[in-house]
Amino acid sequence: MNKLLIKIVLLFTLSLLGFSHANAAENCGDEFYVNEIFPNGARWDMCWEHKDREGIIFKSIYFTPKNGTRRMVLNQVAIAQIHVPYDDNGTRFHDLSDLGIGGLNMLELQSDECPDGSLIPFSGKNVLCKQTTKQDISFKSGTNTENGYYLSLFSVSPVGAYYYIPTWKFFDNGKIEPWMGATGALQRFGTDDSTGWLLADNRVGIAHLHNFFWKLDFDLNKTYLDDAVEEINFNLVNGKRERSIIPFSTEAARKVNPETMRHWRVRDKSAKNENGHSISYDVILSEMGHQDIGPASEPFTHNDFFVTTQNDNERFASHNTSGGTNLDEFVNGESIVDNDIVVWAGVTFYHMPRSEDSPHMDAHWSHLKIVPRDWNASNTLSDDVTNNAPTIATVANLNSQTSDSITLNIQASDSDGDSLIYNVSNLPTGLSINTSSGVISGVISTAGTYLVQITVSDGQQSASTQFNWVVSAASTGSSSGGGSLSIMLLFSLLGLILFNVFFRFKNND
Amino acid sequence: MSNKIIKAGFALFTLSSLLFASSSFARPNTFSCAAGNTISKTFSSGAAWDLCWEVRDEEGVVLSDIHYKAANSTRRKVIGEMSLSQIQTEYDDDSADQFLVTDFGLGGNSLQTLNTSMCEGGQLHEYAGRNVLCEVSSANGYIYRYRDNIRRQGSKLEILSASNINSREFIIRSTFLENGTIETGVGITGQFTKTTTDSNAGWPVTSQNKLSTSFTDHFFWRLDFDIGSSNSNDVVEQIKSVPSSDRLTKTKQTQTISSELAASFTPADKKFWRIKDQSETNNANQPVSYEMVLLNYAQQSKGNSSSPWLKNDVYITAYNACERFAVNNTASSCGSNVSEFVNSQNTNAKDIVVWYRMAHHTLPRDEDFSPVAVQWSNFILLPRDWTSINRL
Repeated sequence: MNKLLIKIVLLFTLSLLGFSHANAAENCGDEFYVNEIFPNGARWDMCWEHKDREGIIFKSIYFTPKNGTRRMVLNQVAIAQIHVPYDDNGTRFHDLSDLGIGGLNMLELQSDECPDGSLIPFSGKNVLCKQTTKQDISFKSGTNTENGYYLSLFSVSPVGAYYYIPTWKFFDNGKIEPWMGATGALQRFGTDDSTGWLLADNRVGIAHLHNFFWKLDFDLNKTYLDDAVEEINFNLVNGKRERSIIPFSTEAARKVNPETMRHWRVRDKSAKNENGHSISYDVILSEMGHQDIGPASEPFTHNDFFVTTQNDNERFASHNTSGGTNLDEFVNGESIVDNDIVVWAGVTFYHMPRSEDSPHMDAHWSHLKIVPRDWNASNTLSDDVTNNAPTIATVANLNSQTSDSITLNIQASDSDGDSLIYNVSNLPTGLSINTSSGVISGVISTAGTYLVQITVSDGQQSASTQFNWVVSAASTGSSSGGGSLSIMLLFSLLGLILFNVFFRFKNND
Repeated sequence: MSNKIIKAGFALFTLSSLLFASSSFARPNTFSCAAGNTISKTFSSGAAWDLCWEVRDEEGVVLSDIHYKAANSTRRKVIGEMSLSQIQTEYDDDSADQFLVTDFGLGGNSLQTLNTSMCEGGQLHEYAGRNVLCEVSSANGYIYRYRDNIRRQGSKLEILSASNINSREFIIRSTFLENGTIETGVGITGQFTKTTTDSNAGWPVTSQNKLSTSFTDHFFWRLDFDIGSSNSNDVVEQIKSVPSSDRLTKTKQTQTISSELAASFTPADKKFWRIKDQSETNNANQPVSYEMVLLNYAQQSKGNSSSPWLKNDVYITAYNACERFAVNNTASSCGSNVSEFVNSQNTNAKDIVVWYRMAHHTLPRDEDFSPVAVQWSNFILLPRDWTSINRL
């Protein structure tokens, strides 16, 4: 109780101190500053800004791990396009650049739309909802488990019959997820069933794509000229996956590749974590089951991931008004080495209407993942508590014959979730233990009685068990299957004791 | 690899589960849930879910007899049984693959005892004297938002269990939304204990720079759809939207899958599948159906070996009680893996089972030490014309 009290007082004091110094908005007015300190101490802080086209954008985004250093992740993030081509080619909307999701196109939110959150006004109108949500499970390893939290910030913008819900989720472990919800009502109807879905009211809801693009200006550790962008592929070579990291030297437009399980990484070239590893973020396009590869006039749909140098004129993935007209033109061979780098990512949702979409359409959601890699030296949210010793299950005495093929899985656990190392003494000749999995395997070669001792260690403490293993000489002509059978019979008698042990006997046939 | 693996041990336990299995596998039309194993939730709108759960040594928690009742509409069955029928782990350094469901099992001692902090605001359910299942209902944000302040917030029912195999942990979660959507998936957490000497097959982690092996999990879901009151008259449609040569328009093509099929994703064609009832309709005479929304694609490799069961993404088969595990299926009267389950049986208006392979690649990071921050691989089942209008 006392400890807890001290902790609370300490936290309170720290936060007071924090607010008076480091936590004050340094890059914007207080009314545009979001500063979220989670109950576990992790923190996100950032500024937001309103734009007529992009709606709410976020700037100077910093993550502070629990007990860690506050560092900038992104200088600026924004939605860069909502491109909606219809299957009948009746229209191809560029909602963000042509109509915009800010200004009058941004709803005034009511408090019931922002449960357990707070509404943030712009020009006297509540446009942004800020919520902190506790997750189901952030990690679990035995009893070492935590729910974890994330901050979410969303606004709602009608564009025609559609209502978009751009949402940013910032997790207490440093992960970022940009989401886009689309709800409202279907925009267009026709009569040709081959361009959509015949609804209950005999109208055809015309099928369409939502190509969502985000512009992500990473400035890792605030040093904006020393970020590198790399493509990571896992190439199949003779049954192995060989990781290959290709750094981009010039602007690039790339596609996902399921066969090499490709993803991208933005890395700071100088800052390292405490293990000496470059701090970085992975960009993971996890929802590529729908893809648009549009007409030649829409080359920006032909790729999923783009790297460009930062240019204020390059705002929209398509229908861009100054400079190049679309992403395909932004990628024009500029060097990205020692330059300010911007990453663009696109995710597609294909909407084949259903009768349920009328008269109101339930929200469908799209997202991507921006995940820290070696930003921290360890899982910062896992408490280092007093170590608990591992436990090992009893193994009943065993009978085998020479030339029996054995696979015996020793069951041990550690309530702290520590990695375990197995050691064994006096195994029957021919057998060995896998020190990390605890599996004893091999073919017994020599008869005898073996008092086997197995020890499992979590690096600090250990547990052990022992049992007798009687190995008799195989009679001439008897198959290894015979040995297996006798062991099975014995086991069925000892079933309750063997509850914790799996045995597998391989019978060569 | 042709070694026949005989699994012994667990004598009493296995015996009892075999007895249990023999009754629970034949999935009769008049399914009866074991006493105390039903979960039901009625939301304030009147929309409701009810289902049954059981624990098996291999698949862990299996959900069955899943019914959805839309608000102001009829309660209908959606799924006869839903299980994680195999997890195949392929390591990037080509060390031996693991088949976690059949080699170790998600049930038995792997199934974790949950405490109240892992089930906040929910209800824990016991199996064999331990709390292994969390049932929790919570708010789920917008259902829809429209003009004139037309708006609705929704709720969800969530069912969660966890299994620990060799220190890796698998959180298995199914979410049932008020609007009929089912979202199911596996979250991987726990410990990464495997290291490698192959510098291209791992990532240097911790201050010791040990190479933590990167790997792919293939999650094989077995979805025994039973749409409507009869379990033997379901029809699968494969729907594509094929672009014109100038790619300006798309034309929908619908194909009834009349015999067993192994299929791959074609994202550029927007290929998807729906399972509809042959006779039951909504009140506008449209067949009631569920579609599969399978967006996981960027890591959907076809595996490191040329294993036939990894070559496709979705397998549609006629129900067969002995087709239980997508890989290492040991029942002698059946094929040994899902690619063999596809053997030309009629699937038109039959009891349909859909097998979905979902691949997820992991490149460990310093932050995963330790434990691993959960990484989810989810898929969605979405009602399509289940009701003639939005009932919420």
